[in-house]
Amino acid sequence: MNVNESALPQIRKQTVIWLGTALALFLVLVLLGLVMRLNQAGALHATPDLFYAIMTLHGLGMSGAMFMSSIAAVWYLLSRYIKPYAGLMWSSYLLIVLGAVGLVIGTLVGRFGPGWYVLYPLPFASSIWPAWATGLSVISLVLLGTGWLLAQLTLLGSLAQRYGAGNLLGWQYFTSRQPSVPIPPIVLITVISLISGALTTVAGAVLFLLYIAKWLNDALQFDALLLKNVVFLFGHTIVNITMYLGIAAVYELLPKFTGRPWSMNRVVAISWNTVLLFVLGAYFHHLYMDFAQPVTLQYLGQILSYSSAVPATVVTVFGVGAQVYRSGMRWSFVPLSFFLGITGWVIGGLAAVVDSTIALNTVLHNTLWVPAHFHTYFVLGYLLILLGMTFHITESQRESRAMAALTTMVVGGTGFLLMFYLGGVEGVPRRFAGYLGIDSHTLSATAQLLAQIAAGFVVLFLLGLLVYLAALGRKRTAAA
Amino acid sequence: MTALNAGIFTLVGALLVALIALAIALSSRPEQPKDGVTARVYRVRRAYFVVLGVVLLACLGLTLPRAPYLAARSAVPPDIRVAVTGWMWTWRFDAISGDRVLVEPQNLTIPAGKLIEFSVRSGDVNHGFGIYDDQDHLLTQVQAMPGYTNQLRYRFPAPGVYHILCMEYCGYAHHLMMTTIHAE
Repeated sequence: MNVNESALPQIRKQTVIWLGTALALFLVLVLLGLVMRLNQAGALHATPDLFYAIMTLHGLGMSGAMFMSSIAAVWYLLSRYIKPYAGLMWSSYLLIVLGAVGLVIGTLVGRFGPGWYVLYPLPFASSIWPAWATGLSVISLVLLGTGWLLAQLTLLGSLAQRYGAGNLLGWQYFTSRQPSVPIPPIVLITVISLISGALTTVAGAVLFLLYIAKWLNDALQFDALLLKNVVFLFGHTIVNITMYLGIAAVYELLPKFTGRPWSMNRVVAISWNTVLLFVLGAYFHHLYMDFAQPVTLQYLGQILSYSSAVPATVVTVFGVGAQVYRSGMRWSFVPLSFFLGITGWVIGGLAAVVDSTIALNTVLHNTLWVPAHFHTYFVLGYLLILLGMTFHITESQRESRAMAALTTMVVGGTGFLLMFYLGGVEGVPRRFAGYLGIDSHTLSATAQLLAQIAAGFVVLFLLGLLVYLAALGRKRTAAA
Repeated sequence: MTALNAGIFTLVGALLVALIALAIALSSRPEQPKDGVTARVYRVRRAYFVVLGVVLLACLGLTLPRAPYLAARSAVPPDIRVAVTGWMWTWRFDAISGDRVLVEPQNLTIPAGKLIEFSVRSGDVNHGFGIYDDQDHLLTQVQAMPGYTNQLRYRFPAPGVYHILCMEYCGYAHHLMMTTIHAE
């Protein structure tokens, strides 16, 4: 039901600004990623403080830009069902932009470089970057978190107003096939994602407020293991729900191309409710190598990580199958990018399940396997869905150009990821500014060679991205 | 379990997923009404759900006993105890029990085949104590976290040089934080 026809052009304009900002950030951050791989390849010679500052900005920026884009896309798609609060969304946008600017200054100028996960106590223990850079960066993270929280709560509030808070989790489908308050799948998936997102954003905000307190009074000491748990609860969840919000959009948009409704039912409702549990507990796998962590949580980490594969594949993948099989659909850019994105997500998920196996994590943890798996479900998963969503929302028409871009990006992205996976198998450690210092010459040479090849594939990927950006927008008519 | 096993399993799995995706994409034509299609897809889904559940339970049963935690807390005394401290950006071995061990602050010689217990801690920020053999295989690792001591038990399989790399990002010279252990 479209309750908000008249406001759609305004919402569309606002969404395009959000998506445009996110894609512009993405382009710059891919360039920074290329700089990192070139440095590891030995082709550039950035000083370690610059490398690690770039690494920090790349990680924080990518997570933030992609999350921002996912919020914008579902907000636009949900505006068919709910009354949006444009003013609050603008406030959120402003906070996110302010936070991003602060982070750019803190990292590139101040050389703040503790990595995206700002693992305590490194932000306060380095003599490399000045105290102002730590303060500015942490305050910027609080601004970013506040912006995200505002957007998430705005959406949740609007949905609760429309459907009633008690119906948002779809529990009415547990007992009835035709409940009195039906909800579309995009609503359920968004609610599940944003509840986990909002809860963990609050946890992240508490963490960064403690950091501000520490910045103001260096005598304060915190428990490193507790704060590591909090940072991964926050970071892991935000990254995961970015993907889920992309999937929510696929549930909403793919039926427009297949001509088949994708309805809510009991299996969909139960599956996505279990995701709420799994997504909040799976982060324990980030702490497997911290043997001081209670052993029960370690085992729970593997069990919950494995379990998360069940609803994801059983419901979403088969749902896509039921949409596509014998649908007679024309494979235009948008459904193809969605389909490839879901495929990339499953492959990245498989690599993540492998990494979440404690016995294998012993030899994979903090090797290049880790960036391999999460780049898979970002680069060949969420990003492809985002490209499809943006193409659809901007009502773009240059199909053949977009198809060429998609092909180039998939080839470039696959090659780039393959080098990460090979690096993981070879035991190449992640987060190394360069490999020349490694006292094993074979490992050093292998790591450098993989970085060189990866850099070539990144250039190809970038080329595809530029072609895609050139494909956006409507074609000019002869009259115009 | 090795990283190569992980790589082969993932590669095979990824190719399988890609093939299934291709088959689904090619199955979009000829067009048929959704009702019959849905019933067919749901039948396959039920079977997949059962198979996936069995596979995941089997993997849990096979791999959880190989987790390193219970061995690290075993009451059986190790042959040799070694205290390891990570500092920005060096490793220090500075407390030893057991015989046939030669220790200098940044150099350790131990006997191969003996059960070694490393008590790993940090003097400043988080580090990671990763042990590589001279063929560059990452053999095992544990984190070094300020305020905590992580016990890692390991038996060096053969005499030789083992490389220690830092496996947790720790700032400016993280990529240069390394040392060696000699097993003889």
